Amino acid sequence: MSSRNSVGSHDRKLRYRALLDDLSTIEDENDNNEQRMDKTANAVREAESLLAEGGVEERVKHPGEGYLDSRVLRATSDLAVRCSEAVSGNANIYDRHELAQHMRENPDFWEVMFPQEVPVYSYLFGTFAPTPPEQRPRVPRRRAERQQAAALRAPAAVDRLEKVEEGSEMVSRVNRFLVKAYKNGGHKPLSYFHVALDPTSFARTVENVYNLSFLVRDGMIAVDLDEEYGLPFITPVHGGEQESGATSEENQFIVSVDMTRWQELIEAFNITEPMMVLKKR
Amino acid sequence: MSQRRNNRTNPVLNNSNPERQIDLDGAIKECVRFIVCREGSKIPIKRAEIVKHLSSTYQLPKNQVNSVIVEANRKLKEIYGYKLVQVEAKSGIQYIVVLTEDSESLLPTSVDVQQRKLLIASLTHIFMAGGSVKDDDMWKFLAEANLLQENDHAGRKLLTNTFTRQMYLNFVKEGDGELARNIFEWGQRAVEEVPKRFLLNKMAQAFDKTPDYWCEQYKEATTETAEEI
Repeated sequence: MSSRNSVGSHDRKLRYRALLDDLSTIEDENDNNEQRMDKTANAVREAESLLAEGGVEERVKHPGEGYLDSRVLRATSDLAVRCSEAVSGNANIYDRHELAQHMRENPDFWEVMFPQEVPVYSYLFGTFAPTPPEQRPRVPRRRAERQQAAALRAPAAVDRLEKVEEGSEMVSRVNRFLVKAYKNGGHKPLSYFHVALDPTSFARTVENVYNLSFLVRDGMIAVDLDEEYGLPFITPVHGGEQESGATSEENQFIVSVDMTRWQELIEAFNITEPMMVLKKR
Repeated sequence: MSQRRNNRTNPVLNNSNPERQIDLDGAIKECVRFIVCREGSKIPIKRAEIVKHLSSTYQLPKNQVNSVIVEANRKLKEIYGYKLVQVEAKSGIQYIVVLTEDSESLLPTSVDVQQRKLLIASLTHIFMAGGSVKDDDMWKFLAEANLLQENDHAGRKLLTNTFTRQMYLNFVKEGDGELARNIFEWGQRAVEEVPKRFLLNKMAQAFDKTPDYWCEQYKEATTETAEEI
């Protein structure tokens, strides 16, 4: 039921629109005033029948209809005013064609001064020729220099997903150092704290912890808790072992270091100089 | 006025008070000259222009401008038979200059004959058509009268711009939405300069009728004359 109603409403709206279109062209298309009046009257009649079609309830539901209806009414009343103006104009017997003809044939007759017009004051030394006022050349609009659009740059095509991340240079240098230290030290695990702690710089210590954590994530090194001391030790992992390492049980641990902790650790391990010295580039 | 008298009768006061040293007489003459010269363009004279001119030539303070203009208007009337008609515009007060009474004058050489014919034709058409004429209607009429070619858009500017600026015509939009249209009406200068009776007589002469042949227009022309009396 309701869907049928809304279809009806849509239909009515379309008809209102068509009516409005017609009204806007009535004036131009019909020369005859009577024709115009007839068409206007028809439009009003049709609007009325459209109004009757939809009940009060429907009108409440579709306020758009009411709006269109009022527009049609407004247009028709405008037209009616103009038609009636034309009627009183018709009552006078002015014939524009006759006047136009007279003007065409007797141009000099229509060339006079107005009774209360001030005659233009002209100078004896001035020009006698009635020339139009000087045309000042218009200053050409200055074109704003438009900035050359930067050449479009396509984003670099990603052909290899495993692109080495930025900052990984330091990480790989730490890795190389660890492998070397491991070999030199007779393949014994390296004490995590001895590697990470730098007694000369807290900042570098933090940096080391950071770099180590990357190596752990990437499976380059393994950090195990030593059974004897209960302290973490680092073992570099070789290519072949990486896979198997992934399957073994994984634990995470969080390293947190602050200034006092750093100092305590240095004293506890009695570290006097950094184990890992990486030359900054 | 009274200050002018002061100028003459009280030279001692003049010297003691620098403000009194303004040459009001000169300013009035300058004002008259300014209006007479400036009027030729038929473009309304802005009050602000007069103020500016007088303050630069005669250092006239603003509070004196009114009395100077009143006095200049009196002189214009006395000597030239002109009168200033004040027009309120958005940009402030303006004046147009017209004659105080009807007179037959020769067409000045500086007036473009073709323009004059166009102006008279459009004013007559508007008056005869009952006060307002749609733009398309106007173009058709002028083309028929062989005054303006059908698609002469530059020529149309004469009506829509020049005559409008000179206040002979008003070119306004009427209605809105789909039914909007542009119409021509008489401007204020036309109302002041052209008695409707004059145009009607012209019509009567042209078609060898009596003015009351066009009864609607005759009614309007006679009521206008009656109002003036």
